[in-house]
Amino acid sequence: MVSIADPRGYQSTLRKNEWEDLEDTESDEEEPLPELPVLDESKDALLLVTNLPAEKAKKFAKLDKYVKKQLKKALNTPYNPLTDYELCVDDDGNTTGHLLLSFISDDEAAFAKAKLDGYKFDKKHVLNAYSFADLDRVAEYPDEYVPPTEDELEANLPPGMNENLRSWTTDPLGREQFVMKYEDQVQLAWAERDREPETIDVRTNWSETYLTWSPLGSYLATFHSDGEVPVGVALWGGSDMKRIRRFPHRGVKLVQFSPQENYLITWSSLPVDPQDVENTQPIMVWEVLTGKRLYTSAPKIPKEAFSWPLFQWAGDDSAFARIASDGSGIRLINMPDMTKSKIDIKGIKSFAMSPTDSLLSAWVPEVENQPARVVLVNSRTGEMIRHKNLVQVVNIDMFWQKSGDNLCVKVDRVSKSGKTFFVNLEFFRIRIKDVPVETLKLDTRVIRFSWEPTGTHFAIIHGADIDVPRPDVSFYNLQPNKVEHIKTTEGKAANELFWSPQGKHIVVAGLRELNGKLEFWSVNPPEQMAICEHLKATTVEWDPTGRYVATSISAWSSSIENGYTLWNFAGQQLRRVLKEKFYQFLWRPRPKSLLSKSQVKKIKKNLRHKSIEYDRIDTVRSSSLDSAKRAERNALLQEYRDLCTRMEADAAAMADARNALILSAAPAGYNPDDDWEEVEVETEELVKEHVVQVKE
Amino acid sequence: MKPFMLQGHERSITTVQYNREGDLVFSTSKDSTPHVWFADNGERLGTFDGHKGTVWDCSVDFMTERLLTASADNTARIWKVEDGSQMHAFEFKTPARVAEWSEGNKLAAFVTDRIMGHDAYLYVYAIAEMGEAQSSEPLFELGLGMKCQTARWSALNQSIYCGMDDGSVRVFDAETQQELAHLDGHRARVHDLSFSDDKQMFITASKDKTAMLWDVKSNAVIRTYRTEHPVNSAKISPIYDHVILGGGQDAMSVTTTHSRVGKFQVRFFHAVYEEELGGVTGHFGPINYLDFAPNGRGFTSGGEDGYVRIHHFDDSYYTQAEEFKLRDEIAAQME
Repeated sequence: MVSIADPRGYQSTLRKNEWEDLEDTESDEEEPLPELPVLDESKDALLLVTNLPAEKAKKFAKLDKYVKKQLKKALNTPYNPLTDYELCVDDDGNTTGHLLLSFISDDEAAFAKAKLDGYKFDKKHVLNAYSFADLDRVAEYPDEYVPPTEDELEANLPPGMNENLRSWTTDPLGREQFVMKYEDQVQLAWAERDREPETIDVRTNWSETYLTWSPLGSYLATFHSDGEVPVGVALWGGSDMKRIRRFPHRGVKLVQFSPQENYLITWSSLPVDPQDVENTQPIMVWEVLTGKRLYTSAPKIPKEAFSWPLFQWAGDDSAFARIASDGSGIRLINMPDMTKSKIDIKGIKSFAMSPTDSLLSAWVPEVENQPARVVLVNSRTGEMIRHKNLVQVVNIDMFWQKSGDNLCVKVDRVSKSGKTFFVNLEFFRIRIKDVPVETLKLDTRVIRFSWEPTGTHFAIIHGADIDVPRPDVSFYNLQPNKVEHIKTTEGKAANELFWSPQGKHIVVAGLRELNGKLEFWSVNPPEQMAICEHLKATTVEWDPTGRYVATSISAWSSSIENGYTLWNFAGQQLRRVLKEKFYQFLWRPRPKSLLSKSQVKKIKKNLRHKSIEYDRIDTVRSSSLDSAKRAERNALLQEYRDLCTRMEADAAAMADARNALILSAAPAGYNPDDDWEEVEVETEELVKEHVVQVKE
Repeated sequence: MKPFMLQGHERSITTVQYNREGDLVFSTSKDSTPHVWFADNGERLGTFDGHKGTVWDCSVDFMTERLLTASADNTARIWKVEDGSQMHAFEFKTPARVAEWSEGNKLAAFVTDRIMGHDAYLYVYAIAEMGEAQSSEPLFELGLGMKCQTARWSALNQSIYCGMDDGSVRVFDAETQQELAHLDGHRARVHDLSFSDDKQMFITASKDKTAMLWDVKSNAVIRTYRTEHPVNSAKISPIYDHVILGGGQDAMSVTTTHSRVGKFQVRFFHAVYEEELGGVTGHFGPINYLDFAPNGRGFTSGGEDGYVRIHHFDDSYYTQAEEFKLRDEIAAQME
C-alpha cells in the first residue's frame, strides 16, 4: 500500500498495483473495485464521457472490461488517478453509452479530459468528455438569448482580432497613410498636402529587411531573424499598430499575400534542415486570421528560373496555382481545404488568372506544324471556354483588366524572313457571349502595356525596337465595338507607365538609365499636365486615391540624394524630403470602396456642395498652420536675439583688450577706420574701370 | 554682378582668403603656388613661388604685410606680401595642414598631418617682427592623436579651436596646452571652422553634410544647417543673419556623378531659421573653400575645378535681405 498525496490535502490510500491488475486479469471474473472513501469532490474533478457503445445488458461485463482496458490505454498514467468509475446503465441494465469518472484532483481530471475528448474508442465511436463544471455551465445557460455586449464580444475574439483593422480609413480629414524606412527607423505618418506629414509612430528596427503592406492595407508585414520579435514574418495592424500575427519561418525573405489578405505565402532561402524537415521547408502557406500553417513545400527550382511570386492567386482567394514542373499543365491548390487539382495544357508557357472570375488564360508556343495557341479556361472545372490559334509568334504576354471584363493578349510576332517584328494586341471580351476577340495590329514593338485600373483605357510605350532610346507613347480606349486611338506622343524618354489607381491620369516615367523623367498626363481628352524630373528616381508610386504621386531614390540602389518627392496628380511638386540612408516609401493601400455605383454617382454629382465644406476645413487648417509656424519662427528669432544680446555684452566686455591686442600689430597711432575710408574710394574707381573694359 | 572667374591655378583650390580691408584675395592650391588677386577687378597681383607641394592653408596678417602658408612639402613659410619674397621656412616631419595668425600677429599656429608613423602636431611659434631674426624653436608642440583640418585662435588668443577628423572640436588652452573642451556635434570629419567677427560664435563645416553654429561661451550648438552633400566650408555673414555653405560630392566620386546631381553651388541659409535661401552656381566641381568679404558685400569661392570665383552682391541681395529682416521684426512685434 502506498499513500498518494491528493492536491486537495486528502490522503487517499490505494493499492499501487490495483490498476495493473485490471489488465492482467484475463478471466471473466472481474475483481470488484475497492471501496473508496467518498470525497468532497469539486465539479472539475468529475467527468462525463459520452458516445460509448450502447449495448444490451448481457454484454455489460464484456464492455465494462473493454472500457477499463481502453481507459488505461488512453490515460497511460503510472498510477490510478480514478477515485470512482461508473458505466451508466438504464433500468433494464443496458448501457446508455455514458461513463462517469471521478478523479483524485482537478488537474488529473483536466489531463484525462484532454486525453479522452476525441479519443477513438473503436472504429465507430469517438469519445467526448465533459467536466461537470462544463455541464453546470451549460445547465445554467439562460433559455432566452441575450446578445453579448460589445465589451464581452471584444474579450472573446481571437488575439489581435479585437483590433479594428480598418481604423485608418475613417480619418476625419480623409488623408492617406504611408510608411517610410530610413536608417534603422520606420516612420508611419499621414501625408499632408501643404505641410510636414503628421507622424503617427516611429519605431527603431521595426523590420530587419524591408516592409510591405498587405493588398488591402490591413497589415504591415515586417521581417525578423531574431531579437525582440522572434524569427519569421510579423503582421501589424489596428489603431496602435499592434502585432496581430506572427508566422515563424527561419530565413524568410519574401512574402506574397493573397488578393483578399486571407492567406500568406512565405519563402525562405535557407536549405531544408534534415533534423527538422517540417519546420524548415522553403515555402509555407499560412492562414492570416488564425496564424495556422496550411501547407509547406520544397519545390526544386533552379536558381536562374526563380522569380517571385512563384504562384498566382485567384482574385477571390479561392486557389493559387503554378505551372507543373514538367510543363504539362497548371497545378492548382484550392482553398480553404487545400485540395489539389490540375488543368492539363500540354506545352504551356505561361498563364494569367482573372482578378475577378474563376477564369485563366494560358498560351502554348508553336511546335512543328502546330500553331501557337491562347486558351481561356474555367479554373474550377478545367473547361475550355475559348481558344485562338496564332502563327509567327515570338512571345505572348497576357494582361487582365482589373475589372476582369477584358483580357489583352500581346502577341510579339516576326515576319517570315525573321527580320521585321510587329505586334498584335488581341482583346478577349470576357463578358460577351462566346468571348469575341478583337485585334489591333501595330507595326512596332511594344515595350510596355498598361490597363487603366478603372475604365477602359490603356497605354503603351512602343518603338521600332525594344531598346530604342526615345520611344513613342500611345493612349487608346477600348470601346464596346472598336479600339479607339486617342493620342500618340512621339520621342519620349520613357520606360515605365504608372496609372492613377482611380484612372484618368497617368505618369509616363523614364527611370533608371533615363534619369527620372516624369510626364503627367490626363488621358481623355489627352492633355499633358506637366513635365518634371526627379533626377535618378528609382520608384514611382501613386497613393490609392490617385491624389498624390511619390517618387523616391532608395539607398538600396543609389547613395546620392536619398529621399522622396511628393507631387500632386497634375505634377506639381508639393514636398521634397531628403533623408540619409532612406530606403522605402510605401503608401498604405485601401480596401475596396463599399459604396455602390449609384452612391458614387450621387457623390460626384454633389461634389460641388461637398467641396465647399472641404475647402473651409482646409482654410481653417492652413491658417492655424500659418499662425503656428509664425509663432515658431518668432520663438526662434527671439531666442537667437537674446543670445546675440548676451554675446554683444560679452564682446563689449573684452572689446578694449581685444582692440589693443589686434592693433598691437599695427604702427603706433594707426586707425583702421581711417584706412577703411581710403580703400573704399579706391574700390569704386576700380569697378568703374572694369565696366568700361567690358563695354569695349 | 557677374562674378570674376579667376584662372591662374593649375590644380584644385584649397583655400581662399580676403585680407582685412577686403581689397585682396589670397588663394592656395594643389599646384604649390599661392596667388594674390585684386578683389575688385579679379586681376592677379602676384604669386608666392617656392613651395614644392600642395599648399593647404594660408593666413594674412593685420597690415597685409606677411602671409603664412602651410604646405605638403613639410614646410610652413612666411612671405613678404609686398614683393612675394620668402622670409622664413619652418620645417616639419610631415605635411603642414594649417597656418593661422594669432590676434596681434605675435604668434602663429601650425598643424601638421598624422602620417608616416608621426602624430599630428599643433605647433605655436612666436613670430619675430619684420626685419628681425626668426627662431625655429616652437613655444610648444602638442600631439593631437588624429588628423586635424582646421585650427583657429579664440578671442584674446586664450585658446585654439581644432576641428578633428572624428567630427569633434577640441579646444586647447594656448598657455597651458590643457584641453579645455571636447565638443561633440558632427558625426564625421570637420573640414572648416571659423569665428564670427566678435568671436562669440563659430561655424563648423563637416563631411556629415551639415554645418553647425556654436556658442563659444556655452560650447552649445545653436543651429544646424542640413544639406545633401558633404560641406567643405562654411562662413558667417558679417552683416546679415546669413551663413554660406560650400561643398559637394567628394572629389573621389565626382566623376561618377551627374553634374546636376552633384549640386556644386554655394548655398545661402538663414542663420536663425535654418532655411535655405538660395544658391549660387558656377563651379563644376565641389567647392573646397569660401570666404566672406570683410564688409559682407561679396564672397569668394575656391573649387576642386581649379577656379577662384569672386562674387559681389547685386543690390537685390541687400533689398531682399533688408525686406526679410523687416518682415521678421514686424511679425515679432505683432506677437
